[in-house]
Amino acid sequence: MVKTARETPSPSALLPLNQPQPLRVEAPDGWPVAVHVPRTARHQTSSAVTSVEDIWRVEEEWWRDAPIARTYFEVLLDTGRRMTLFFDHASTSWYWQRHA
Amino acid sequence: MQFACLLIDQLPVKSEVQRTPALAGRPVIIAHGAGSRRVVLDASLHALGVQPGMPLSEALSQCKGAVLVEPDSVHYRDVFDHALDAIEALGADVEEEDLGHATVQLTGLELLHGGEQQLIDDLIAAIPRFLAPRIGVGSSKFVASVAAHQAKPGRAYRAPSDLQLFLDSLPVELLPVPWQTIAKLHGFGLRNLGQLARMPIGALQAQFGREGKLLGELARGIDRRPLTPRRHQETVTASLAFADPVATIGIVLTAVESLLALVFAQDSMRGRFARVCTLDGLVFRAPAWHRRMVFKESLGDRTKAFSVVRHALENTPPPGPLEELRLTLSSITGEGGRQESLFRDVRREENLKEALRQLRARLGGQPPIYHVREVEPWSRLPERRQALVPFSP
Repeated sequence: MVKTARETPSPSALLPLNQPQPLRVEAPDGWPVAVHVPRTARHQTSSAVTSVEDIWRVEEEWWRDAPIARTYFEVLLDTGRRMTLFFDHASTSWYWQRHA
Repeated sequence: MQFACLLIDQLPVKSEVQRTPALAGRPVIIAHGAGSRRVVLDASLHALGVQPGMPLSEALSQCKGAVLVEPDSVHYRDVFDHALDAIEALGADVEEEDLGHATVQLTGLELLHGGEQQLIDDLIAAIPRFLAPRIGVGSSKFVASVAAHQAKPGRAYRAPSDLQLFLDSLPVELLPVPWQTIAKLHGFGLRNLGQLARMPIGALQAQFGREGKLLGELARGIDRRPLTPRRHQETVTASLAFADPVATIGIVLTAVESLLALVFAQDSMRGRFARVCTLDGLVFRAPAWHRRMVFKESLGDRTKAFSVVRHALENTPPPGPLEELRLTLSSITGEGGRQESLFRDVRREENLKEALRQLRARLGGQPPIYHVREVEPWSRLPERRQALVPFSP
């Protein structure tokens, strides 16, 4: 049987990539000072933020019920590692965004 | 219509003695099965009181000095196949009934061989002398088979023209029916074919169903069963004997690789593909090992074939140290070859397609292989820019 062009793809047809990962961030006054970076599935190490290299804000889909509002921070840790974090204003949680 | 029945008694023992002449004249017992449930497969005439099917412990107590030999069913099969091939080379149709038992159609071949007697002589001469076959000649498959039981080893016996008289006194055990039916016949007091022939066929049918009609007719010398010639299958084989028994899987795999190289290099495999690969191994102090592998598709390349065989052997290695290994390719197709692209990128794509197809066949569905595709590359949200899409080249 020939498939119709209007057939909707199955939910497994597309798998999301680069999904943000929840992260524990110490941020008094909304400014990140330390990040608990996951080392393994169970363990994490705490690293201090030495500098915030960049900040930007993304507001999207404000016409929807769940608009997107994020504040991104590109930070440099005391280990020398560079990470992109964001604070999600909708869920009031911190996330780690890879390949930003 | 004339038929000849070829009967080779003690084929396993005869094959072993022919292979190891030191066994000649000694009591030999070939046992199969495992542990305490081992039973006698075959025994030489010198092993007095030992019968096939007897528990091994009982057989050894009956015949204390017997030489115990592990069965090599592949070798026995080979010996019998060679005998049947030799008969077919005479131009005859051959139906294999069992290991050591076959029926040959004689009608139509007498003129080719200068008469029926000469044909029977040629038949005996075609079979290796050490097998000492008994040949029975009769007007049907069953009559020929009964006549073979009356023949002496290496000789032929022709069933007399008065069939009823010939069959009357012979035991019902000669009928080609399961032992349960024979036991049931004994239960009714029917011990020879004459008693059975005097029974009305209707009564036999009432008791034995469809088999009853066959029993009644065979006992009267009527056999309507046609001869079904055996089917020929082209095979390519190579074998290797190890100086010492090999137990390491690495060495076995190296042997398999070189055997595959040998079979694929043979002229009969040039530009052709095989679907089945069989490994037969002679295991040190254990029964022979047999492994059959069916490829997902016909393979004409030893590297691909080796990858399948290696995978199978790594999962289930041989049961013990191997003394000899034989590799056979069968179900050989006449496929002429496969058109491959001259360009490397296209070839890589084709290889990828092939790997996916094999995976799909193995997993029975879409394999978990994806490729990254740009979905909304302009999005400010990084997780929306790309997605994983099932890979389908």
